[in-house]
Formats: sequence, structure tokens, C-alpha cells
Amino acid sequence: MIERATTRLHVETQINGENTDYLCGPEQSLLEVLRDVLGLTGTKEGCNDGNCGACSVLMGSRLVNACLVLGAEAEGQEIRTIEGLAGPDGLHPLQQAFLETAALQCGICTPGFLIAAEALLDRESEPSEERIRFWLAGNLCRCTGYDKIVRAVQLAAERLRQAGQLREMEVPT
Amino acid sequence: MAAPTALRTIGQSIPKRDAYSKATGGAAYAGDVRFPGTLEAKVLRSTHAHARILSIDTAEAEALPGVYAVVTGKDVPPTRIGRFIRDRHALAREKVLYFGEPVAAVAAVNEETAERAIRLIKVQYEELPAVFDPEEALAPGAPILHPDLPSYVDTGRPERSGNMRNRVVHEVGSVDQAFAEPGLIIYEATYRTPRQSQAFTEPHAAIAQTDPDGKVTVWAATKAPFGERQSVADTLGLPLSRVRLISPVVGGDFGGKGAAFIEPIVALLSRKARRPVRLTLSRMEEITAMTSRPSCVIRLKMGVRPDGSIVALDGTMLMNVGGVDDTGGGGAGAANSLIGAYRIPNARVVATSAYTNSSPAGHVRAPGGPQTSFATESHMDSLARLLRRDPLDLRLQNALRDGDTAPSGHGILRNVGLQACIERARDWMASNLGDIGPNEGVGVALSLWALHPNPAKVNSSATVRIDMDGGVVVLTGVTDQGGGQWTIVRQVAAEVLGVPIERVSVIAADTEATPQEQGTGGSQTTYRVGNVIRQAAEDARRKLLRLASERLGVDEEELDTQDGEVFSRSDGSKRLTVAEIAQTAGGSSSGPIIGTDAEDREREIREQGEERTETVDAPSFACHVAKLSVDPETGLISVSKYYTSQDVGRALNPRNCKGQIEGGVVFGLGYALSEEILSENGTNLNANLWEYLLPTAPGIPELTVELVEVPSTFGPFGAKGVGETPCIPVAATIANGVEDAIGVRVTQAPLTPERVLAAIQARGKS
Ligand code: FES
Ligand code: FES
Repeated sequence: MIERATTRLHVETQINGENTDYLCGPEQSLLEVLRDVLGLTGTKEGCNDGNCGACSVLMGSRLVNACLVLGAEAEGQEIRTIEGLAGPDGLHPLQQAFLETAALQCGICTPGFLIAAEALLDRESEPSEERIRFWLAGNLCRCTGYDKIVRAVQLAAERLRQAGQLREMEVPT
Repeated sequence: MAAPTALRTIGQSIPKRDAYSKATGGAAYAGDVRFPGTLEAKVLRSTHAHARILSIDTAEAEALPGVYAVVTGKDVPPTRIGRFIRDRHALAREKVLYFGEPVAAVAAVNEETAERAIRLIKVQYEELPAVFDPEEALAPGAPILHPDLPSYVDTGRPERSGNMRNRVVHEVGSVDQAFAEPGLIIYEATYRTPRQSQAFTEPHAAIAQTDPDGKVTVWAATKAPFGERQSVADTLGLPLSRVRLISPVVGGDFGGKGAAFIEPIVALLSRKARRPVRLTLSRMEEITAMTSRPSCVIRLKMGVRPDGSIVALDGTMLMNVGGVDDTGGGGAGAANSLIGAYRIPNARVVATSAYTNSSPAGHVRAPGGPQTSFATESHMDSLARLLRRDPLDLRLQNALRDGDTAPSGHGILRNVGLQACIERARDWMASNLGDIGPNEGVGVALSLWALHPNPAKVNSSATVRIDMDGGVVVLTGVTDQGGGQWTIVRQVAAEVLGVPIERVSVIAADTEATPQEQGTGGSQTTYRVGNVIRQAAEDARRKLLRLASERLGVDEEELDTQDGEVFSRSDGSKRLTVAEIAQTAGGSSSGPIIGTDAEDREREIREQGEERTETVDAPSFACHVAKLSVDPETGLISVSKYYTSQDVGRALNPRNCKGQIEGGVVFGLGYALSEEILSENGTNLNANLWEYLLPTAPGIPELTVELVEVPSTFGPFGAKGVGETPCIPVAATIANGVEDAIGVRVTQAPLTPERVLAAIQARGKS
């Protein structure tokens, strides 16, 4: 028995550096595709309506709530999720800083915060504390009170700056 | 117990082991558990606040292609379920008692189909008169929600009748006589507090699987897998052994994940469909139909002598616990919390909880705490103003001291760190508050969360096992919803056994694998569960030493453990690794090394006897200070600095302690400033995260947390509870700061700009 006759779209995209394709319904969100079609459950669902940030992913350099983006919109895009944050050499400096400063408790918000913070540090190497707080205003955390999260982002930013300076010294211009 | 001077892991900020998987997206929460062929569930919810169900027609829904199972109240036995009182069914049987009550549920190939099927179910209701105000609900002639209430199973034996879910009278001294004292200054006021959502970031999620032989396994976001197993078994009519509940990583609880609402539903569906079935609630369902902190009206009267000593307190509390209730508004605990952190010789509190056709009430972080504290701590400031006294001074004068009877009447308070907390706060204020500008002010308040688990009634147990490679495995029923419970468990076991923390792992919260456990909460886990872990680890240690003594030819008393080795204190050359001992243990006469808490627990109860049961040995006190400003034009409060000193007994893991306290303060800030479930005729209006306003990163003040350590007598390594205390006094701290800033008293929380403005305007008129 054919259970439904809805059109399915074939989407070709890149997720965490890997070429990926999938079939999805025209109304299926990217969050649903990631979690249910592709089994990438690291991206979390807290509200499904754009108000908690738990589903934050990067679409190119754009920070989006995956629950508000259609699966079909990923066509031809580069998507980055929490599963792609750590590099081959280990944790991303943001992840490292979150662990060191205990910036997570239950951790359900953590993938979203990490991706959102990564989007910020991609753009700005020296964000002020206020800038960090406002940038993260779309991500809810009920456990930590945010303080340790802000400190972790500051710590990671600082380390990334230092690493950047080292690289500059190594490559004479 | 190991000598406290040589502690190696206790007192260290050991990172949580699961933090790595959480930070890389690898941690599997209940909503992440997947099986091939899993069906999606949806719940049909009541569209009436109070109605009789005349009929439910599911034929069309069942005929929809892709639908595998439809269940209604007909699939549910008459036995009621519930955590503290059994007052509900997994699916409504004859009547619905609140808007959003589950009426039917569907399992289908995907969410879309399930959603369509839900809309095809036809329910005929006969609307009944509804009541939403607790005072009206208690008045004669009100529609009665639970006519069979007296026959319900309840953990306590509260006074109950009609819509009165319970009434608790807490009385010490002779109140009426005390108020008659000549010259007494008497102050009376009424306070109102809101319904607050736990608002954990992870909504309720569960997935159920039924074996071909009918056994059901449920993975659920719950902090009380054993209690929920009971509810699932009761609903399915199965013995406990045929139901398995597993709580994986939980994404926040704050009191809301201890009662089985969705678990029995997915279990019923999975049994009927013979497929795995999962359900994740939407945020709208969470705020519309799941539990919240009950709203509360408190009338409070206190009598104080001109010298500042408070001699009498008289209070009433009325809580709205909605259509079905989890906890009775905090019951007795809430009643005695109204006395706060003070020695008041004559006190009477009458706390009443009423059923209404509102959404259910339940536990929210520090049940009973924030609402009573808002009243008492606001009142203390008003008294200080009347007496022209410094508010912190007046508090210190009346503060509970070591040797006083606990306000709960449960015993003598010991190890009181309150005075130390106040002193630390004073020091901080002296050097950190800075200038106070116009419309700026400072608020203070005290907090108390007193633990007195009777060890003979503790429903916790643990097993500690040493593997053949020397690794230690702790089996415990306790869950970890982010508070770091599993880390504390590992730390305690590592400390007692003298093995590196990396060698200790935890198997937890699986009703089939772990010993029984009442559930994580009430700031009791470290204290109560920590103790049984310690006892089980000590049992394992004794067995380890006995085996080592046989092999080394050294007396057991001569032996010690450290860094994974057992060695002779007098002859360091005589040593064996834990692994070496464990390898041969299995074939020895005593068998593999397995420790349980039973022996030490019995012995300790015997030895500590009355001293233990008559002592409140782990009171957790705190002193809070806020610096804030109020915009007189808009009524908007901006908090710039927030300080708290808290007595944690002994910080087993200081960084986690501070994290809990910071999170608790911000939880309290939400309650103080913006969080409130608004409803009209039983329908919650702001059932989403853009109108139910949670604190966000930009609005958080500079937070300072200082840990005070006055060890408890019986807690593991001196620990006390941590998590509830910090959220309790925040709303009063803010309200007191507002009065200090602009001279108006706001008696209703949260202190939204509208309320502050209204108070300013009311003062203008008077
Ligand atoms: S799940 Fe997408 S913002 Fe909450
Ligand atoms: S750590 Fe639990 S919500 Fe952020």
C-alpha cells in the first residue's frame, strides 16, 4: 500500500564537508532532515519555532535555526552542524573552552551555543562581552545562567587570536 | 571513611565525563534514541476545561493509511496513576478536567499522518461548569472536579475534601496570645506569585518498544524512572518485571520530569502497534498541558517588638494546583517555608491547595520556596522600614542559629552557616557595590533549604562492583539532568576506594540494571545518594582489603588504598594493585568484589540513632544581594550586580556547585522579572517561548558566587544540598531593591514593567 503521494524532493548538499543527498518532503524542515532522515541528532530541538536556538546550524556563513529552514533550501549549500565542529586533531577551541569552564550542565543547548559562537568568532576575532551576550540572545539555556558560556566564548576567542598571531609569525609576508 | 585530610577527588572540580559527548553532539537524549520502523505519536487533547466525554469515534482515524494504532481512555484501566497522589489516567476516561488533557493518541508512519489522524477523531463533549479561581473552587456550590477524591491513593494523609486537594496547618507556640502583646508592631500584607514553567530546554520525549512477548521498554526524559515504571505498569496492567524504564541523558528537569504523562501513552501505542513509538512534546503542549509551579496568594502578618525581635507570624497560603496535581503545591514543605530563615517562637501557617480547571501543578525547582520567600523576605524589609532598621541587621538579629528548632519542626538545626553567609555578603557589599545613583537601589534576602531525609526511610540504594581490570562500576538508579549527579557519584566512589576517578564508571537509571531509587531532586542527590554510594563503596573496600590481607599476609587494619593500589602502611613493599586483587577475587571463596549499602546503612542508622533523626544536619542557607535600577518612566528593572554567598556544607565539586548556584539565581531572576503563565478560562495564553519570557544572556547581571563551607554531620564528606537554595530568594531580593531604589513596594511577582509602573502610579495618587 502506498501511504502517501506527496512529492519528494531530491536535494544535493554538503554537510560537514561531505557531499550528501537526500529525499525530503517539500514542507520538511532542515532540522527534521538532519535528525530523522540523516540521523544527525547532535542538532537539538527545543521549540521547533525559532525561539530557543538549540537547532542552530551554519548554512554557508549564515547562522540559521534549522527548524525554520526547509530541507529543500539546503540544495547547493554548505551546512555545518555540531558533528562537524571538531577537527581531525581534536576538539574545536570553543568545545575545549566549554569543557574547561563547565559551560554546560544538561547540555541540550550546547550544540546550538557552540555553533552560534562559532558563527560569531568566524566574523569577529575580538568581540566584547556585550557583543557576545547579544549575539547569543537567541539561544536559551535554562541550566547555566549564561555566565560560564560567555566566559567560555571569551576564552576560546582569546586562544584563537593567539593561535592566529602565531600563524602570522610563522608565515613571513 | 577515609581521613578527610587526605582527600584526593572530593573538593576537586572534576569535569563531567558526559560533557565531551554533549559538546560534540554525541550524547543521546531520549529524543535521539532511534529504532528502525519507529512510528510517530501525536496526542489529541481536550478542547474544554471541564467536560464529560460522551463518545469518541476513532473509525476514520484508524482507517487512514499509515496509521498503526489509536488509543483512548477505553484502553486505560480504572486504576489511577500519579506521583504523590494518584488522581489521573494516562488518557481521560469519563471527564476532562483541564484544557489540553490527553484524550486520545495515534501512532503513524510519520508526524504528518499522525497529525491528520488526530484531526479525524471525533469527540463529543458535554460541557460542565468550570472553575478557575482557587477561592471560588473552595466555595460551596463550586463544580467538584474529583468526586472520588477521598478514595485516591496519596503518599501522605492530608486533610482533603471537595476541591480541597490538601490543607496543611503548621503551628508552633501560641500565636493569638503572642499577637496580643502590648506594644507589638504588627504588619500585614498580601502577596501574589505566578505560575512558572520549568521551561527545560529539552521538551518531554519518550520512545517505547514492545518485545514480541509483550515486555515493554521505555526510554524517557525522566528523573524518576522507578516511579514512572509503576505508572506505565499500572496503565498497561503489567507486573513491574514486564516494564523497563531507562532514563538516558536528560536535558534539564527542574522538577518537571518526575511524573509519567507521556510514557504510558507511548507504551500503550507501542503495544497496540507492535512497533517502536516515539513522542516529543511541542512547546505549546509543554506550557499548555504539563505541570507548572502553582500560583499562590499569601496573606502574611508578623508581630515585632520595638527592639526588632519577631515574636509572631500568622500566614495563609492558597495554591491553585489545576485539574490534576502532582505534588499538592509543595504541601507541608511549603507551609513551613513561610517561616523562612528566622527564629519565630509563635507561628501558624495554613497552606491550602485547591483543584481548579487550570493546567496541572507540579514541582518546579525548590517547590514552595520562591513563593513563600517572596512573601516573607519582602515582609522582612517592610518591618525593617517600620522600625528604621538596616534590613540585613534586622535579619541577622532574628536569624536561625545553631541549636534552634528547624522551622519545619523536624529537629534541631546543626551546622548553620547563615551567619557566615551574611558576614561574607556584608564584606562584599562594603567593597563592591560602588556608588548608588538616583533610581538605583540595593536589595537583600536570605534563603533556606533544609534537608532532613530520615535515613531509615531513604529510598535509595547502590551497588559498587570492581571489574577484573581494577575498574570500578557504580550502579545507581539516580539520573543526571545536568546537575552533575553522575560525576558526584564517581567522585565519592573514587575517594572511598582510593582509585583514580578515571577508573570509575556509572551505570545509572535503568530499572532493569540498577537498584531502586526514588528519583533525583530536592537538592537531595548529593546528600542522600552520595551517602549510599559511600556506604556501598566502603563495603567493596572492606572486601578488597580482606582479599589483599590474605594474599599479602598483612592485617586488614594495616592496609590502605591509594592510586589504585592496596598497600601496607608499615611496609610499603607489600602492595597489590586493585586489578591484581580483582583478577583472582572471582575464584576466591568470597567471590567477585561487590559492595552494597545495606550493611553500613543499617549500622549507621543504629549508631547515629536518634541524634540523626532529630537533627537537621544539612541546612543550606544563602544570603543574596542585588544592585539594580528602575526606570521610573517605563517601570523597567535593570539588575547590574548580583551576589550570593551560600553554605554548601562541603563543595564536593566546587565548579559544579558554582554552576548550580549561578543557574539557580538566573532561574530566580526569571521568576522575579518576567516569567508567568497567563491564562484565560483555563487556556494558557503564552504557551510558547516568545511570549513566556525566559532570561537570556544579555539581561544577566554580573554574578558573584561565594561558597561558604560549614560541613554537615551526616552528608557524604560534609556535603549539603545546593541546587534549590539559590533560586528561592531572588524575587524578594529584587522587590526589596526596587523599594530601596524608588520607594514603592511591589507585592506581586513577577515584577514586570507594568506592575512596577502601576505601583509608582498608585503611590502618586495616594
Ligand atoms: S528548535 Fe529551532 S529554535 Fe528552537
Ligand atoms: S545546559 Fe541545560 S539548557 Fe543549557
